Amino acid sequence: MNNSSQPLSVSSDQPARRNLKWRVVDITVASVIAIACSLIYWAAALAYAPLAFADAAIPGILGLMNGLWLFAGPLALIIVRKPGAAVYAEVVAAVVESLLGNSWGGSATFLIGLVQGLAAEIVFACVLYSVWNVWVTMISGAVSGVACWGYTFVTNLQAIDWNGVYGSVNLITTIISGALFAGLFSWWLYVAIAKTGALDHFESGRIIRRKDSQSGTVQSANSQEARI
Amino acid sequence: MGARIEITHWSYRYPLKEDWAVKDVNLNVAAGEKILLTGRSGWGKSTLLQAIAGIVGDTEDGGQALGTIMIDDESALEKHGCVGLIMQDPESQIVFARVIDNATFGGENLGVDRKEILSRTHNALSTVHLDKDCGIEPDHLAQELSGGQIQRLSIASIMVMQPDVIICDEPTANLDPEGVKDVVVAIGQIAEEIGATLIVVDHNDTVWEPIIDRKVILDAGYENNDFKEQIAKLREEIKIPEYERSSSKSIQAMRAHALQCGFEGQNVGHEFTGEFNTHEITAITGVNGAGKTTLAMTLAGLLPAISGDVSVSEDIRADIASCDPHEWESRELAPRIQFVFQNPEHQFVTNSVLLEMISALRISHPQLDEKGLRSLAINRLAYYELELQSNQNPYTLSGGQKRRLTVACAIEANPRILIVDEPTYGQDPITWMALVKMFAQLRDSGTCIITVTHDRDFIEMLGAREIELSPLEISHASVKDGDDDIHVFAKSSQSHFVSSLNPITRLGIGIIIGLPLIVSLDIISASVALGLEFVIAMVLGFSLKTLARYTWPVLIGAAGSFITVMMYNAQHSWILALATAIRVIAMGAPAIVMVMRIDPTDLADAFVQKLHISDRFVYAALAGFRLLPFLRVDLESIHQARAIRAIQSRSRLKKLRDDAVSLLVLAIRRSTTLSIVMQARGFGSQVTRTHIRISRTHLRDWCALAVAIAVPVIALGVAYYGGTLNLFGNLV
Repeated sequence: MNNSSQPLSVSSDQPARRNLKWRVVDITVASVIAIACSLIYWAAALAYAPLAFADAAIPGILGLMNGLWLFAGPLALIIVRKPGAAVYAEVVAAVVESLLGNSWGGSATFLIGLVQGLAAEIVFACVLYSVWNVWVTMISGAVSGVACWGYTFVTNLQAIDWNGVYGSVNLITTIISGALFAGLFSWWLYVAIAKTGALDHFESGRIIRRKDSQSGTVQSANSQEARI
Repeated sequence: MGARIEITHWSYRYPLKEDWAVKDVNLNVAAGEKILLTGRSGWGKSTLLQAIAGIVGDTEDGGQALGTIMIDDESALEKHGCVGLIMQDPESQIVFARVIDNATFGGENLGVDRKEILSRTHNALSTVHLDKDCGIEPDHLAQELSGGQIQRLSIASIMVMQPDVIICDEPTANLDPEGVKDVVVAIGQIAEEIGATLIVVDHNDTVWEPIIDRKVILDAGYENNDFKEQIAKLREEIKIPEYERSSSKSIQAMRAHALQCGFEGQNVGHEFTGEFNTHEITAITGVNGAGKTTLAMTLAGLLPAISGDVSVSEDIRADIASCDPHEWESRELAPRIQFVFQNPEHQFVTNSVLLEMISALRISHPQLDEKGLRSLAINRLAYYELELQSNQNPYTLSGGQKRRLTVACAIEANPRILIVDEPTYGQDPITWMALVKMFAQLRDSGTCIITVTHDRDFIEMLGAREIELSPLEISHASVKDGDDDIHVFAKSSQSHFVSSLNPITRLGIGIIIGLPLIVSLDIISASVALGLEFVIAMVLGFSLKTLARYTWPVLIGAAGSFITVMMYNAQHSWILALATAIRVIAMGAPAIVMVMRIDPTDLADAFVQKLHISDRFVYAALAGFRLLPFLRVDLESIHQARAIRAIQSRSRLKKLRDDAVSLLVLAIRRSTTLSIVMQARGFGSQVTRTHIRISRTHLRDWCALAVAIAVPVIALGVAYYGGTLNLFGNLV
């Protein structure tokens, strides 16, 4: 390369200044994550349909599965890292689900998505979109779980004492499930996806790849070459 | 008018890469000049072309750029929309469902006057032969077009933008010869008409000669830019023995009789009868849409035959009872039949190039231990020029490398039958030759090879037997008269009145007709509301059958809520449980009935124009929605790839987890490409967009909303006078 040429537009491998403005790629990636998630929700619903019977045996235990339907928001947010990503992804996923038709009822899905997305978003807003780790994501998932529980009780389960046995067990299981599926699982997914290089356009993806290449997994003699 | 392009010492390095993707490029193109760029595979042509289009080089992408790219003395990054980019994969270039929306998209993004866009679009579609006179209605679904037609649609879309520069990144790579000719002609024509500067990169140089002014070679170490000449030279060096067709060793490996292939019961292509032999390569050719891939997948046992049968010779089956590979188990399939998907990313099952090769060698060398497999794998990767990448994640390879790795893995698994979809796509002469040599070896060792290909040189050099498939004659009229369920623009609701409402009104009604009911949990308000809704639905012309078909999920949900409330409410009151169930239906059913079959494009228009939600977000979501069927196919292919490679998770949770990662990676890849395609059409600039489609509301929308509000008001009113109003059940 000709080193005498003036670097007129240079950016570096160092973390870029935090930019909260959405790029086109942020928008398309967030929306397609939401759409892929709605497909995963659908696959999960098929795989776990038999579990519905468990609810009769142990009251409120079904709450353990609720988190499976909450991870689009946190996942999109930890990947694109722009304000509103969780709300956007949950709403898009919900609109797609309602256009396809599901058991929560068309337009109502839209509302659930909005409520759950806002709940997930609030946690990251509280840390000013500057802390990105598995703990905050798990809290976000848990809070999203609370929203999910609250919505179900207002719409479907008003007749049940929300602070009775069923209500409390359901709340606790939903929170655990939200933290595990929407939090831990989202984080795990994000790391696994980042390692494939699919997120190299994002600061979130580059952090993981830099760590990955430093962690000594590369052992061959020409590791310099192989690592790229 | 054409613009002048000056590229001075421009280099680019992707984030996290140590090598420069493009190194010190200098290039001057005069205004209105038409040039063809060539160079060895992997010299970063797509990067350079995207940089000229102002898409690569944004600081937040984390890459590093040196030097300058100026278009008429302004930085390319600032010149959004004055450069139109046409890329190689036709499928990924469709942004929206309908032909017309794709054609006008670029013009809308640039804020061109509405009338002007319409007249330009009319002109453009007729130039590329995609207008009514050629049997393509504006509302035709873009995905039903052939590859060549889709490329021409992209060209039309660029033409509507009237850019100063047109850039083509291998626009003919995936096309059949007929399609190639049409696309070249169309590009020449529009460049001439607009007077734009034209830059083309394509492996197939000869077809461009009539329309270009000069050829530019952009790689110092690359002397000969003619693919055919290079191959002829290499051929002398490598010496692939002439293939003797009348080989006495050749016996039948597989046979198809009256085979009808297709997806989900839908025929693709004609019935097929034929046989495939060992020591022989068979090339399946034909125009796009003739059903080549579907046939290949059916032969490989990945798709069930619709009718007819596939049977594998006894010699290859050995102890397997069934002769139909579709009935075999994964561990039986893998050593016998290997299949290579068109999209290499469907095929990857591990985290590194080395592990990919090891997993293939494990099939062909079951006797080797891990150490032996490892050293053999490194050795084989070196042959395919992939040894430097051995520790890389396979997804991070370049397009040509990915293809080479998947083909190499299938070859190294040493199957009795190898079925490959487009094996040589994206290879340069050297890697192309390496693959051809391996195919020849495999053939001579007795493998039956079946390939879907457009590559004439490949067919010729390997002396492949050719089977040309012809497409089904689908007249456009028959598509239109067919099942209206598959058409987006079929009447969007069973009720005429509902169809005539604005989508946003329908969404709104779905919410407000039910939502207020949450204030009271009692059987009277719920029943009155549900009764009113039912009467309204009947008046609007919904049949009972349709209502049942749409709302059954809500009925199941209601039954679930009934049981839960019955069991766990403190009073064990069945009345409360019944009230809950009725209310769930009263809230959920209209929401589904109103929303079902809304056209997503109409809904997006309404969101933007009526609710004034940012058009960037809404249209990106709409474009993403179009990917849904592709993601479904992706999910299916991921499962099939695991079967071929004899890798399957036992646990359900693990399977869900693996599916989720693979699907999301593919989804993110697709959306990254989508963002490039959309930006190449000027999407995301600060200009206020023009709206070609206008979302309208009428008096009837307001009347419908009024009725929707009246339903819960009446229901709650009746409950109040009846004294049954029960605020928020047990919640307060």
